[in-house]
Amino acid sequence: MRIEIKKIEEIKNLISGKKIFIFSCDNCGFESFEKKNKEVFFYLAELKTEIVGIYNLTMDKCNVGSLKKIIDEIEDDINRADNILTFTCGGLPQILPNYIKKPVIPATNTLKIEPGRSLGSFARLCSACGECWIYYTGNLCMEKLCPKKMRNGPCGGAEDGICEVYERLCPWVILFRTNRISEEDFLKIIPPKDFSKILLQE
Amino acid sequence: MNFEEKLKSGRFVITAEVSPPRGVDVSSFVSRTLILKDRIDAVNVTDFQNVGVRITSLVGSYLLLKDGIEPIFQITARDRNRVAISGELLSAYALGIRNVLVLTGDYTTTGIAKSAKPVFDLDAVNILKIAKGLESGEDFTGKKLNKSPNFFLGAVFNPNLTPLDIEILKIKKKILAGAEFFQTQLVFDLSIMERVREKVGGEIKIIAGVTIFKSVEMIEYMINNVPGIKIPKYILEKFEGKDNIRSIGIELCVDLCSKMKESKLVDGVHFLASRPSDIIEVMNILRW
Repeated sequence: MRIEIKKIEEIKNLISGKKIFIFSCDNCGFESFEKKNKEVFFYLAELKTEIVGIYNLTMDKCNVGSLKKIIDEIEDDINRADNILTFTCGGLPQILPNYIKKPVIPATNTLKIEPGRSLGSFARLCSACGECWIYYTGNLCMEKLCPKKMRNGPCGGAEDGICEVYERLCPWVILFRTNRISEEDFLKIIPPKDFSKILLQE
Repeated sequence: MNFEEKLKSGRFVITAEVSPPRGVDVSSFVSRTLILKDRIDAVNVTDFQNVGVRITSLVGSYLLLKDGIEPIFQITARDRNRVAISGELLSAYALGIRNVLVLTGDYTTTGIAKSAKPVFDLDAVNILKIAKGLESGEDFTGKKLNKSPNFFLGAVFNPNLTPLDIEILKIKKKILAGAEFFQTQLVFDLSIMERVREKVGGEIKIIAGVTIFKSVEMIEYMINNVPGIKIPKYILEKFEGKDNIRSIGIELCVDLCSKMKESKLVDGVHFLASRPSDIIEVMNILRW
């Protein structure tokens, strides 16, 4: 799995408050924790934030059952944080808002998930699209959930909330029904995807 | 006055959609549409409607323009990437086409050419942004244009979507992206338009979608196959067990059109999936 850390300017605009809790991982075994976290801490120093805690998620713990236990263990640290920053693939930040009622911000772009390798279970939720923008869509991945990959709101084809393509709820309708997106955030225009980010990966 | 001037002057406008032909004989497409000339204000030319292979919207729009009908060139995000969309927009303007209606487009599998690759490189909001970029003199890559176009940009919204609040926010977003007028999916219930007006104000130009039901098959087809269509029960009941569907359809459309004009909630009506001859019949009854 190939992951890059987002540019500092992008993250600066997303975080609110000084205290940050970090989730890191070893890119499903493609990277050592030591090397990755060195990069993460260097990055966070530049961000001038206070780190209240870090959890290194291993592949065997990357599933809902383990995550619930982990969150119980680190509850105090999480309570002290203003924001949760994830230095993992795009799977974990989609799951965390179900358990942590604080802004969960993906600090990375997942560039590639190699086929034929074992992965943590949340990796299946990440489409490795090269520029993670789930922060703008209430931590639901439209690349994964929306057939048209709508970036700026629902397409208008849903009937009673059901997608025009598949018999399931439109992810945009879920966002609004669960109040996961503010009007202000919704009105931000998200530019088209930069396909060169993934097309240039060998 | 052209379509934009009429709409901006506060006139109640009438538009209709037509589909370019499936094949290379364009004569009946033009002659059928010509009966709308000087009766309605602009004609929308659909972009591969129902995911079917046809003459393009660009060429269809040009054929109408050549014969003195003002077209509204429709473009969707389904079949073209951002390069092709930018090129189509420039080509349209070079041919004299100014009005553009931007849509995201129905998904491939909801229509005829199910096996085709759905593109959706952009969405309607980003097509509007790209068009605005062209107007400001450069394409999305930053390359300068030798002369910039000046479009009259429209977008769509679906008043049938629930919750309606999402669709209202989407209207606001499309206005931010550059939409100057809106054409809607079928509207039967004017109270929905009242709610829309409360939220978006009276300034924005909205042309409400209407249709003329011709047959039970058409009604069933629309319900089962066209995304975003919702026909209320009380409308369907009017047709139940009746033989004279077409005349009930005309009556219903006449009634709805006159109510829409009287209500002042909308700036015009847009005939969807209606034969030009039927549109003229409705307009004759309305003395429009």
